[in-house]
Amino acid sequence: MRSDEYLIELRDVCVYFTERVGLFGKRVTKALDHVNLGIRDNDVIAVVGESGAGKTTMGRVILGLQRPTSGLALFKGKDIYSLRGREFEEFRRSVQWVPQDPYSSLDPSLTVGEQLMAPIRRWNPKVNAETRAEELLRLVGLVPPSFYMNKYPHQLSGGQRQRVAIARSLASNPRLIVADEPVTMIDSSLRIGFINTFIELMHRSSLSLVFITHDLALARILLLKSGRGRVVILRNGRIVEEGDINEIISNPKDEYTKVLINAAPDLKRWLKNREEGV
Amino acid sequence: MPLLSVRNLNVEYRLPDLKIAVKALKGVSMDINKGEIVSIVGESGSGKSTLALAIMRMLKPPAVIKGGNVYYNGVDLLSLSEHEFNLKYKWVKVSMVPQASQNIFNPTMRVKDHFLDTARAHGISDEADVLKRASEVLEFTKLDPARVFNLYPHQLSGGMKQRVAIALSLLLNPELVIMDEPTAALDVVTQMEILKLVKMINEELGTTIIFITHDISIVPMVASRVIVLYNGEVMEIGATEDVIIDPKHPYTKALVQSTPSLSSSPEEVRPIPGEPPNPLEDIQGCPFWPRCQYAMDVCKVEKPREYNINGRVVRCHLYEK
Repeated sequence: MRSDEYLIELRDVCVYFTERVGLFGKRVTKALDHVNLGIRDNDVIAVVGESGAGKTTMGRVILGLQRPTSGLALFKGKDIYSLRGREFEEFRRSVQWVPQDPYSSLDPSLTVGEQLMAPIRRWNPKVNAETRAEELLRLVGLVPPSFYMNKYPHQLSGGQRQRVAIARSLASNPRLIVADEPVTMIDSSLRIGFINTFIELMHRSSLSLVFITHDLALARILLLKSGRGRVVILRNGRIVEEGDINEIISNPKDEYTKVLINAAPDLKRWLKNREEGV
Repeated sequence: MPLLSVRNLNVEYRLPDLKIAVKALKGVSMDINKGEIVSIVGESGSGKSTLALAIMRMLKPPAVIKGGNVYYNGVDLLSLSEHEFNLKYKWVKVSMVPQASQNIFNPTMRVKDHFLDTARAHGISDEADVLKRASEVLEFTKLDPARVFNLYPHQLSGGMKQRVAIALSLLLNPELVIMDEPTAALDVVTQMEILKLVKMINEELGTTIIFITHDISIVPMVASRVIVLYNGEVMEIGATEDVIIDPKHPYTKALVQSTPSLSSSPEEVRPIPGEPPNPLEDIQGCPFWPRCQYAMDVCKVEKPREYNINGRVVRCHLYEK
């Protein structure tokens, strides 16, 4: 495959953090270690791993927020760090981010409407920002939008804030969204609803999603519901396994994947084991 | 007689700016038996932590206990003087692993000093004695005392901090430990290890444990009984197996259904419709009715009473015969 067919491609990416130890020593943390990943239009990729595996660093490299120590991060076949002017604008517009914590990522002094209209004006100066903001709110299931436009973040529940964060990431009409553990801050009963919001967004328009999570069961539901995509298992900065989620869960090749699967809390498995007297 | 018996407990948070009181616990009653692990499950805002803090008498203004009793072996803890409670019960009989144990440590104090400090607060000043006991509990939580005693909190990993917090709760050999979301910020592998430790404490030391969590999928890995809280009220109490296999309350049912397993089909996992309750709004009748698919007219006006179904406590009008 030609590399310009990828929206984003990570080619042999390493991210090393060097820490000074004592006077002359140093310690190198390999946050990403020779990672290769291709993301196409309409792709869904669930990145799963424990804390410290390099999930967030991978997200930051894709977003152009973390420069690789070595290797290349490409946008439509071109090195992100060689992009200038219009090309860089297009990259920024195309790749957006839903941050982990909606409590700290929304500006507490701005209303929901203002948070949305600012990026809309930045990216689409010609459209009516208010109409577009209401459209985005409707898209993420915050209806009626007029009810939310004048609310401040502290007046919303965690789930509602998370939806505002998604709506905001859509303001530039991106082609790829990187969602970094977007459900950890919301109640478990709402997590599936949140996944459904993404699925619906992807049905409506061409959108790729990189979904970073430590919850294998949730990643699986996302991939099955979207009917496409694959899971990437990260460990110590390396991709240890990549492919179809059901295939990987039923037949894990890597020892670490097995550990992750066995440690995942699972009501159904528990019931089954109980019946079999395990 | 149960070891701990909470009766009709009501707690409010008074918000003077808004001139209103938020009812965090509304008539909560539950029994904890000696030697068991009971899980309290509820989502954010359901009153789990408020309940734990009320039992520990650690609620601070604007929280006010508006009535009810907490009996420990028949003694109402809420009626004791603060001095007597601190001397005879707090940490001695009932201790706690607070929520977000990652952040409970004093960053300028070594692990060792946290143990000495805790002991001193309870009038124990013999350092050698305390450190001996601290070594025992640290070893029990699978930490090497010689190594961690002199470490500062920032030198511990998340899992190690959780173990130290658990060791601290065991320092004075309590009969009951309340653990508030002890695995919340941990990844699944570390979570599994902590769950095993909790079971081991219960089995080997005979400690009674109240295990608070928002995640129903980990409950069967530790607890023999489960208490389901929603918006400050008890919805259902029963043996873990019964509650998960055959949930009686529509909220419990919806909660179990919204939890994905590694083998669930995408269709069977469904979100609970609607939004979580707004704590500022007082819901008439059953707190779950706005999101409940079985809601009847009576649910909107009248609080359901407690129904007993084969040893299960359910508060739902569906069981009115």
